[in-house]
Amino acid sequence: MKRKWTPFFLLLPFLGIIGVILVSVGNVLVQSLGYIPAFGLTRLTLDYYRQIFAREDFVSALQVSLRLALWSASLACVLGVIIATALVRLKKAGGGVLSVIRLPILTPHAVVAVFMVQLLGQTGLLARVCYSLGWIQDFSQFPQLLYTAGQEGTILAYLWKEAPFVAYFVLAFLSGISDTLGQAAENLGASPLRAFFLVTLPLSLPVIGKAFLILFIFAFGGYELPLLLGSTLPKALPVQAYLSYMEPNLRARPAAMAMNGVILALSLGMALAYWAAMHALAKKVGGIR
Amino acid sequence: MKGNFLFKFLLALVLLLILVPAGQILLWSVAERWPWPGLLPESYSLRTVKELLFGSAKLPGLLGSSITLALTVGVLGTVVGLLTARATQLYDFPGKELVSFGAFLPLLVPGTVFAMGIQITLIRLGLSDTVAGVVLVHLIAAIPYCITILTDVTRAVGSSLEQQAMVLGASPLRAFLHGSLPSLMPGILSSVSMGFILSYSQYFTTLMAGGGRVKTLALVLVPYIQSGDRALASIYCVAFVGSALLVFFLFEGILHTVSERSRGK
Amino acid sequence: MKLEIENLKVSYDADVVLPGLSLTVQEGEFLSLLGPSGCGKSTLLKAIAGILPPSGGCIRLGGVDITWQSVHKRGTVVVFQDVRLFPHMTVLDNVAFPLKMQGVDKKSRRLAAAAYLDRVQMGGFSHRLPGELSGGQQQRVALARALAAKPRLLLLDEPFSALDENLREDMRTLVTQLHREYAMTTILVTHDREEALSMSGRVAMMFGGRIHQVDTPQRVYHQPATRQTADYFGDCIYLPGRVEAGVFRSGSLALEVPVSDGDFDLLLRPDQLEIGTGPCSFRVEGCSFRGRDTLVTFRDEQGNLWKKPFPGTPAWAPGQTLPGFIRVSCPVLFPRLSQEKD
Repeated sequence: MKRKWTPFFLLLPFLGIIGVILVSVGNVLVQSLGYIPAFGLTRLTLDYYRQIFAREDFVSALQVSLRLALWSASLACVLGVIIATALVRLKKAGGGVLSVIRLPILTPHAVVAVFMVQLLGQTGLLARVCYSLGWIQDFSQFPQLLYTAGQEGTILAYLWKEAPFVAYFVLAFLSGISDTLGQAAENLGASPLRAFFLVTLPLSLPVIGKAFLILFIFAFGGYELPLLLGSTLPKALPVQAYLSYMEPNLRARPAAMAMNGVILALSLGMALAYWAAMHALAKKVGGIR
Repeated sequence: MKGNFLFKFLLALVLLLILVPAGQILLWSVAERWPWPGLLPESYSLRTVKELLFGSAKLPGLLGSSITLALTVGVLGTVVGLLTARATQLYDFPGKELVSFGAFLPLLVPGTVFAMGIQITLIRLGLSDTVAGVVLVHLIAAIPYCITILTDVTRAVGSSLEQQAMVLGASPLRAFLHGSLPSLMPGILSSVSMGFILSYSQYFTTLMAGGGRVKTLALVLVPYIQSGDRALASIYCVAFVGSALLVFFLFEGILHTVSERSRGK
Repeated sequence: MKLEIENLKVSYDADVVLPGLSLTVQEGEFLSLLGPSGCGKSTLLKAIAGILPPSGGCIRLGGVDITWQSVHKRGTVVVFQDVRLFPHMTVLDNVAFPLKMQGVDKKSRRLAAAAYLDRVQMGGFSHRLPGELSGGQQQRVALARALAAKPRLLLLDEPFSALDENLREDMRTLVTQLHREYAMTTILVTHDREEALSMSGRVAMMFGGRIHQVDTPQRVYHQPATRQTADYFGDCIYLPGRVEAGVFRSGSLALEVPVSDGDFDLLLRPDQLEIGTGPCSFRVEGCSFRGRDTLVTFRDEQGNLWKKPFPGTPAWAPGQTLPGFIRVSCPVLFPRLSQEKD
């Protein structure tokens, strides 16, 4: 009798935590549908969603965030995999080099923002190096990377922190595949490049896909970096949502929650796409030992 | 072998890109004047250091409370992670797969959305603007990582040592403490340090749940960055990264000693 | 192709695994590398294949120096212990993989791959995924894949140790057949004595990173060059004695040996023991029924223990004394241990 219920008791704290998340999600959904009794709103409606899609600032914020998420997640994954491959190839999968690569993971976004300003700003280190090399004569000649509508600075900032994360995340798996199956492929006549693309990479896709998913949602819903490095207009969606949330006019609250709802919907949509892709992949591969 | 040169170059570039900014903020934090286009500051000053140590931000107290909060999250996250990992790895029950999905859930809900959504509940529970509320919210963010780390370790260690101990007469609790716990230590330390880092770096969730009343170093950092006083912002960054690294390396050190000792056993 | 290894040195991290090894394998030969785990035989194999870089010495294949050649150009194909079939490709595509690397067009390589699969009796499995096959089946496909690579040198790294006893026998037969058919130079790494002795043209005994003897299976067993080699095949009894003027004497035993004077031990094995008639007496210590035979332990007059199998169940009891003699046709002498170098 005791044995049967033990796992349930062990899981109680976990279930509590899940409960909290679900409550939060529930709140977002309910409020976005217009149900906030404290403010006297009791009718469930999709109006707020319709409203925000008609707003210029929301639509451009959505585009900005999508752009940001897609670019930073993709580039971080590509770079991260290349770094991990370099580590495996050069047999540096442990020790000093790895510790340095872990540093960005320990760095909070705000600090990363400072790094980027000091590195990429028009009066930043890169610009000063270009000046010393004689490539530019004045700082205005250095391209504007920060605070742009294209969010280049923010993307680079995410890259700085997330490429090492991907490298660290996929390293164990990638090296396992590379040292066994990748090696076998080379042994059978495949050049290291072909072995990587025909064997190691396809088999590592599930792990890389998971990293992509995590990074996409992270970048899509991220606040600090777009706030500190993004353009004043258009803003990223979470920044926009927060602004609406903090508006003194409480009637703007449902609209703010509708924005959060959209963020949630897209995150969940991405997750579903990932699971579907993994399912299809698993069928094709039939399991790796 | 030729391709290796390209990889070496790439890694060197990556290392450079990581270490140079770190060096930069060190310089910026003690720079008095560093106009364009100099590659090094023109003059140095300890103004920011004085401001940091004696200024309005009350660093020692702030540092202490931030680290304590983050450690609490780390420890709590590890406890929850351990219990959950035990349930999924050592027992069989219907719906086990849902647990792994559930563990992933916090990663699917961005921090901003979660924080804005939970605020009304925190207010109702009287937890808003409190340290407890902030700890709870940080815990949510840390859980997926703690569970992942501890699930792997729990699975690897298994229950064989505990079973052995119980067969020799130990109570279940003692069997766990003397049997499995030593082998789980590396994973536990890893999980605590991960939870610590995550909580220590949180900004938005601290802002929302703490309402600006609960002050952490990460929270205080952002207004300094927005202030435009580059030197001051830099020194606070240095304080943050320095303290984070110190605690992190402390954990690594303990981890190392523990692993060495268990290997000697 | 002929393989020549000269003074090969390989280190792994800080350990020197191979301090300097030399070996020649003739074209078309089947050589086994036999030795206990940790002796460096897998390391040697990996160095030959280019997976581990050497720190000194030279490897030549077909007369060409391949010491520093990259893995994928060497033509030294390995069949690994952990099989390593590509899980995301069908069995057919796995076997066709090396052909794809050789630039063969899709249609031809699929036909060729199918032929190789038939050769290892896996023809019906072309469209399965490796995960659906049993261990033995996977190993067959791995063999087919290795053949498809048209290796200049085939290296087998303990490929059967993960398989069941019965399967192992079948696989050994298959490999021996394939070797005969395709006549490629083959090196088998194993710790299984029976495997090495039954399959090889020559056996190379390896201990502690060094090769002690390379000889035919018969000579390695009956005329081991070192004690370690002798001990590896087990059941050794060393009879101490002295050689003077070309005669080895020990107790009542006297043998003519072409060896200079000194203290020596004579190697004796249980299969040299004949029970029934003879000048010596042997006391039965115990009998263990093993199914197809019974292992009987004897103690001789000098106190040595002899364990010899007898078919069926001999009607002897512990304590019984039986007459017998020891047949010595080709005496093997080792210098007494205190004198032996290395």
